[in-house]
Amino acid sequence: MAFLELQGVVKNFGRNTVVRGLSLSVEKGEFVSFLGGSGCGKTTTLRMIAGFEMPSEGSIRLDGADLSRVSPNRRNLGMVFQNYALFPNMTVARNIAFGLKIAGQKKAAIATRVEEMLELIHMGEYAERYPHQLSGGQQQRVALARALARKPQALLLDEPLSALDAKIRVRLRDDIRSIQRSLGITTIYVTHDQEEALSISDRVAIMRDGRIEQIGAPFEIYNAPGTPYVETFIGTLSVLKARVKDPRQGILLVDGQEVRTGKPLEAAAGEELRLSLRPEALSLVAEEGNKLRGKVVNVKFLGSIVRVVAKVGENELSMDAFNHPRLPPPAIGREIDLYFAPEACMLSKPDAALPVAAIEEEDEEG
Amino acid sequence: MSNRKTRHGTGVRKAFSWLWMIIGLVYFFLPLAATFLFSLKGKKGVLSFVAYQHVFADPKFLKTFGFSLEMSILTVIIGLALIVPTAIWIHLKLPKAKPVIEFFTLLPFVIPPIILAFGLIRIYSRPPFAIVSSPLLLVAGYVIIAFPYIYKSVDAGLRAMDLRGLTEAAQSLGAGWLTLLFQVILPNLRTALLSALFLTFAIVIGELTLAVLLAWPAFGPYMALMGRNLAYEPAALAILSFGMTWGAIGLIQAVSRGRPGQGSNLGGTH
Amino acid sequence: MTAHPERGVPATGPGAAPERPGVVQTPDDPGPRGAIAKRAPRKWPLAWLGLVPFLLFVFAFMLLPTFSIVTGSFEDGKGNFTMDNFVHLFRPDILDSYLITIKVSGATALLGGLLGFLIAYAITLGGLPKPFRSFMATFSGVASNFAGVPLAFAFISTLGRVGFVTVLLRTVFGIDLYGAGFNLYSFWGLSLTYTYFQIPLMVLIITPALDGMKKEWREAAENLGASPLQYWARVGIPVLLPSLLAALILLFGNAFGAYATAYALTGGLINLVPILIGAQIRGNVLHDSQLGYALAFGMVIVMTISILAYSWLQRLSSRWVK
Repeated sequence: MAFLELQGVVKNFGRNTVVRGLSLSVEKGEFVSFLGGSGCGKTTTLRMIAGFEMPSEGSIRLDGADLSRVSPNRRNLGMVFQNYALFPNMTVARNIAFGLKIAGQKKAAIATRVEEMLELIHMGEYAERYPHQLSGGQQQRVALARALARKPQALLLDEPLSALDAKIRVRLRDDIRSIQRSLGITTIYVTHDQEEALSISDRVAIMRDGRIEQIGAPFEIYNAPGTPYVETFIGTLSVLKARVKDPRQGILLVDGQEVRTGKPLEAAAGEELRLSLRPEALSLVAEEGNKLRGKVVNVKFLGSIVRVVAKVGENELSMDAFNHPRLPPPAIGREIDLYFAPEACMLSKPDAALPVAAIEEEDEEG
Repeated sequence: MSNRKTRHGTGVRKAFSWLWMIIGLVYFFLPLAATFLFSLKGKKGVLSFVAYQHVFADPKFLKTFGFSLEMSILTVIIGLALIVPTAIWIHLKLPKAKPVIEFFTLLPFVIPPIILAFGLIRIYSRPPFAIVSSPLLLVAGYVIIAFPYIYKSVDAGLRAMDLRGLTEAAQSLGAGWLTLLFQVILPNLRTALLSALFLTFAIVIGELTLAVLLAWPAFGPYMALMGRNLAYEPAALAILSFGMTWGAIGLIQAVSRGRPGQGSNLGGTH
Repeated sequence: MTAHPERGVPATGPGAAPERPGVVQTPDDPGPRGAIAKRAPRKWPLAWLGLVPFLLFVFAFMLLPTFSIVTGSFEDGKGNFTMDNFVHLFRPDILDSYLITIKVSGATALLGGLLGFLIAYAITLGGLPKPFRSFMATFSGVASNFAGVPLAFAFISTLGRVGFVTVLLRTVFGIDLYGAGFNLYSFWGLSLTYTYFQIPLMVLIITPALDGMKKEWREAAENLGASPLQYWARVGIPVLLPSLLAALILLFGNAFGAYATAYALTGGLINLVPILIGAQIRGNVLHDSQLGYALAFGMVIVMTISILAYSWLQRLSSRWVK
């Protein structure tokens, strides 16, 4: 039995079903992210764990105990909100001490613990400040300390960084992860930011329409997406139209050019398939494997990465390469050859709902 | 499937809220209902609208009501003529002056009508400004009383329409200031202007303090006089007055549907 | 684009209507008088010109009268300086008047404040269906404007000697209100009537503050182990306190200065300060006209203190509930 266990959890709001039969097992000390667009049910699920919503069906067990009878103020779970929710009438120290005071601990013990927590978030000198005197990032750190002060059984974070600037977000998420690691506390993290989820989680659960589409380690999710949705949701993907040439040998035709997939195909000759390729799987450097010739239509300079977009027939193909100061990217209009290994091919049956052009990371999937 | 209640404790909270809501509603509607029923007792033994008939048949009713209506219209005109340009001015050219102007528009809350009446009489009953017997003094007093509400209305309207942005856009398209005022600003202020109109009407129509102390045949003093001698007609007047106020406020809500910041209409004629 | 205000004020010549917002001009647009706007070296003084009509009006009809009351209270009948009026303020009957006015204002502020708060809570955080809120908002706007003569009539019709409810209680329930000592034309009757407009005023004032209470505070408190009572005691009420106090002060001031309702209800029977002042203006009762000014001055002091306390408290609360 895992530490946190959700089984068949369903949540209806009137006639709207927001969470459909969600099951999840989280081990003690694990950091699991719920990743998805708005409306996918990730926040609702988190709030059910916290006790602010009651499941319509299903059960939530923490360390074996059924939580449905336990009111939210008795679950001993630490929650961090998107808008920090620090009590404006209390100083930082008193905010952090709040849970301890409610629990009736002694003044001396509280003071020691508050100091510990301030050390943990590196805000020792801010003890007597009020929330309105702090920046967003500082407030969120205090919120984290406040949630952790009571040594909760698990930590729940509801899009804690969404309201902050990009640079602070990156720094703070690393802080959250290192604190979580050092405390070994089981953590559920809700976010719509892929990079965030992938960079700090032990496992990522991609949620869509009230269900978990796929759950796995970041590496797994990215490199072995289990469903078309996950494929297009995570990272950037080029999707090409391919026609099967030789199913036994696994050879396809893309715009008349041959592509070897290296494994036999479960399709008939002449059948149409979707071929998906990650941009980093392609290269301008000649190597063993496949080659596709196309014409450069766009070059995007993303900082450390240069993304070259080429058209192969009617397909668009994106290729990522590291920026090299002495190697300028190819000019628009030039013909180039793109190389990739057979193992980089991801195949699926054509799905009418999904577009054929390359999907950019920045698109928010609903 | 089952839709259990969404949270622990929501039920208690709701019951608590319903309790006070009902108490509040009873407290508010009981006097109104009682007054209405009382006003129907004009004829002995039967419920009738006789009291209302008496009121409407009284020539003084029309005369005083007409007078107060006139006063309220004058108040609106003068009030808007003063405040709209001033508000536009400070929004566009002198944001620094805003706190000062707002302070002045809040002062009438500090100065109750009784004090205002006293002061106005003291100053303006002697030459060279002996206008105490001119209705304009009454209007001036009303304008002061209505200032906070008119200003809030206009200010909310200006803020909602992004005055600076529209002005700069209009000017970049070549509009002169007359065009700007009449074709851009005022049309967008329509809601605010109407709200100010109805609110001022509600305030002035039943106003007593200034009217009675400056000795004018206004609707307020008329009602007070009726109250001295008659029993059922005052109740009818109260219901009519309430109906008018409700109508005025209702009109404000109707025109400001969907516009932000046109809400609370504080205060009263007391 | 925001450089325009620095480009100068349009030619407001001696005849130009100064309250027209001459607004911003480009050098190509000559302005209303046909003359190119003179580049004012300091924009300040000229821009303030636009406020002159408003300020003039305010001065003439609000500041001057009020100020004259203040100066009048320091003068005797012939215009000489004296502090006598203030001494006379301490006459027993005058003191009684202030006392009873303070009592009425305080009582109705507390009563109206409490009930108004509970109703405002019900329509904001209380989980009632949405239509109630807009209905209550409209009704509060109406009810707070309903003060004065009509309100007095309404209460007379309800709880007067032959008022509807009085008669109802006697005939149907056998309760004799007036026999038991109740009197509409007394302290409690007046307070009950005042409360009718104090409650809606409280609802209107405190609703924005209640809207500003983030629901996450309650959830965070719950998450940290607090019961609803503990939340209100440690977070809810403390955060609302400045707004609550400010509202109570406003209610107090509102009742203190009320004239019309008391006049129409009691006709001068209860000697509230406004009634005394009103009587003074009409030239009866008080033999001492200058005393009237002192009374009025006292009232101005009370109101000024109220408004200062109110704005200080408002600033305090807006700092927290950003």
